[in-house]
Amino acid sequence: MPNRSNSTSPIAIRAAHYAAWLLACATFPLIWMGGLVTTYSAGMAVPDWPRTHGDNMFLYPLGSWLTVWDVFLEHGHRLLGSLVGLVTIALAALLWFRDKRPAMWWLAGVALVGVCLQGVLGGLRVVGSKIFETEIFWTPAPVFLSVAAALLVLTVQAVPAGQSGRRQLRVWLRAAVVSVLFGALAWFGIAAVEDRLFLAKVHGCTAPMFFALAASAVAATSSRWVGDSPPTETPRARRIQCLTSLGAAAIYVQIVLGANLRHVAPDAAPWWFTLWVWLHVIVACGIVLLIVWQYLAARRHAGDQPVLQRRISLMAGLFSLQLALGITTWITNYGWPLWFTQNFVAVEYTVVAESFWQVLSTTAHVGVGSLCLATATSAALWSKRLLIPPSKVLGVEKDGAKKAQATPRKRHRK
Amino acid sequence: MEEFFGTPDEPRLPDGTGLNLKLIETAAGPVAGNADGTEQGLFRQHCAACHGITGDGAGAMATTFDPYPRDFRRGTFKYTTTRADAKPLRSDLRRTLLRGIPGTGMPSFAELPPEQLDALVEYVIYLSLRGETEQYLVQLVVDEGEYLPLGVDAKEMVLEDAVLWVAEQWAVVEQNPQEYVVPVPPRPVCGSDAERAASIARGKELYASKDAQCAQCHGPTGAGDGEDERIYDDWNKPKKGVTPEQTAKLARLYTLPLQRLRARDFRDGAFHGGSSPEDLYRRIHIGIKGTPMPAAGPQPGAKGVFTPEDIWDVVNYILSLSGEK
Ligand code: HEC
Ligand code: HEC
Repeated sequence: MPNRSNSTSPIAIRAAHYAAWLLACATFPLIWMGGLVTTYSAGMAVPDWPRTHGDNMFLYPLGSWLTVWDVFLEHGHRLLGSLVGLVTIALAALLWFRDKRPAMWWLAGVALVGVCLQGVLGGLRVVGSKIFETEIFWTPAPVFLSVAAALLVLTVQAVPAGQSGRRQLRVWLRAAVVSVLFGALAWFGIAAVEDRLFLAKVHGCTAPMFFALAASAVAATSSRWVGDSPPTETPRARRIQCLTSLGAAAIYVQIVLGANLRHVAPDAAPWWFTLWVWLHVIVACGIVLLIVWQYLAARRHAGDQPVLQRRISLMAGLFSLQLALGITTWITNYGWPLWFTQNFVAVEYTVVAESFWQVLSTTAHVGVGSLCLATATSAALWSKRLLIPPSKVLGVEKDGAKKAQATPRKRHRK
Repeated sequence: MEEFFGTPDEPRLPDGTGLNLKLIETAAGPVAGNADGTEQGLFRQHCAACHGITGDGAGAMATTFDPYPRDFRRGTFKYTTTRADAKPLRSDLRRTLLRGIPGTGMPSFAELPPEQLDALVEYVIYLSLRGETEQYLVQLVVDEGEYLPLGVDAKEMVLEDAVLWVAEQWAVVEQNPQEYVVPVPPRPVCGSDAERAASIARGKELYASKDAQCAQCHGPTGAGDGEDERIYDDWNKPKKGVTPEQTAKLARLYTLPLQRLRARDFRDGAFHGGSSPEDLYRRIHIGIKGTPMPAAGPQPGAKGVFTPEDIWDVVNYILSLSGEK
């Protein structure tokens, strides 16, 4: 691998690394708070958006904010969300202007679009079908303008320098069209979806994705990543990379299923819920298998890469915790299953709605779920960075870096 | 229907039902919060996922539970302090909300503020009144060949015979509790272990006696494994045909599949209507409405298989099975 630190300013990368950490650390409590909002059904405690009970969101009186629990949650969630938005902008700026890796520009762009979308989704989830009547239909215009502008910069940055003026102009034009199209599409897509529960689900599924993105930024800006720590050459590289990516994907599927469990429409046909429950259980078993497999494979074939191993072990630990939390969540919400009390131990138990344990286990299950996703994503990225199949190393020696990157991927696709 | 009761979003009530529309309105409709921290749409927020928006017991999570969440439309409630033939008191429903139903999916809502509990209780009664009226209407159309929309006369009839009649059933219990609530005499004190053992022995004998038939359902040792295995509650009975083919055919008419009812296993101590001796006394005296679990105590005009003293002996016996005193 070529020495990347040459092409990117090290101080800026450090700054981006800290910004990415800050972003991850702000997103984690944001997810917990969002989980609490759903657990307490507090989302509608503040029925307007972007205003809070008619006041400007940032000027809402502290007294009214702190006195009612549901309002505290929902309004606090919005404020913390705004903070995350600001940090994202800072991180994106650093990556765009100081990082020379196109992949990082994309990451920054997706993060920025994601955070805007997430904010708007959250708002729409509250305002729902009243959308055309309220000012919110009109206020996000600036948001979309900025997203469009961001995309524009992103694309133009990717233009190779030294092109003719005509060609540059064409790229600019194409970028402009794309960003305007994107803005319009996103806006009307959202406006068309007036189903609050659907919005709530999407809002709940975007959050862990965003958290994973922040974790990716942390990984890819770390000094170990941009420095030249040598990858391990192993014939199993491809398999471990596959396993870790699959693990992250499966955990995301699990999060989507979980969101469907949490946001059931009361008037949905009952078998839907049963279906989601079973899928959630089956995918959980699949993830256990994947994790055990990649843990063993990494021990055997990547023994000299503690960074990767630590991530995989951490994920195994987190996932065990997550399983325990999942079972606790079931019991505190729906009671002990009959097959258990009748065949094993009879437990006298009454479900208590919104009790301490119910709220704690349910919200923790949501929070640790996204932590699992972030760790799995990080493990997947590090396995790409730190492992390399033997053929690839040969390629580097023979034909230089460029071809080496292209050949194995092509072979993989076939 | 809508004319009498409005829609789930905008409930309405005919005059003379004695229900509190203000409370019902806080429980109805979509979920929303007000700036002063009060909330709207309580039923949809806390109950509808299980009990369904219309209270038909077929909410989105219904199949997860055994027994299913209650269908309020029959107007029958299991755990009451009132006679077997009477509606429950508001305080009965409130108690159920406060302590939940242990061992089932029904949670305790003890964490909710009292005003919200009142609103929810009122709304349950409203849904049940609405449901019973609906049943009456269906009968009217099917059995008497009335056509929809109903004429003025027929509407008057529905109002008189269904809405107000059912509302009256709820109201009389509330107005004359002394007549409908089953009294629980003080539990005889067992001074010594020998006395207690004697009471338990008497209870055991009564439990096994031919008249009472307890063992038929609950099994000779109270393990819930009696001979009568195929028992169903009133909500599931209509789904059961005489032959399996008939049952399969009927299943298409219902959202939830047929569900068997299990007689309680006394050994685990998880009593659904409360585990205090007084709660058990009431259960045995009143029975469990809507299920085959019979009323064993004296009822107006009938002696009943057990006297109050007998019931206390049986309570002692049952408590001894679950290892409590
Ligand atoms: C998690 C599912 C669930 C939720 C949420 C739930 N219930 Fe229930 N409820 C049940 C089940 C299951 C039963 C049936 C228990 C039985 O038959 O023994 C039941 C029974 C009842 C009964 C009948 C009690 C009796 O004496 O027969 C009432 C009344 C009731 N629920 C009211 C409510 C109200 C009001 C709410 C909302 C505040 C609510 N429930 C929320 C599951 C639920
Ligand atoms: C026809 C069958 C049948 C007979 C006869 C019967 N039971 Fe039951 N019993 C049931 C069923 C079914 C339940 C559970 C109902 C439910 O969960 O909805 C039950 C529940 C109970 C409970 C538990 C109440 C609670 O709060 O959890 C007690 C106590 C009880 N029965 C006592 C008795 C006694 C004493 C007798 C004899 C007088 C008796 N039963 C006769 C069917 C029967």
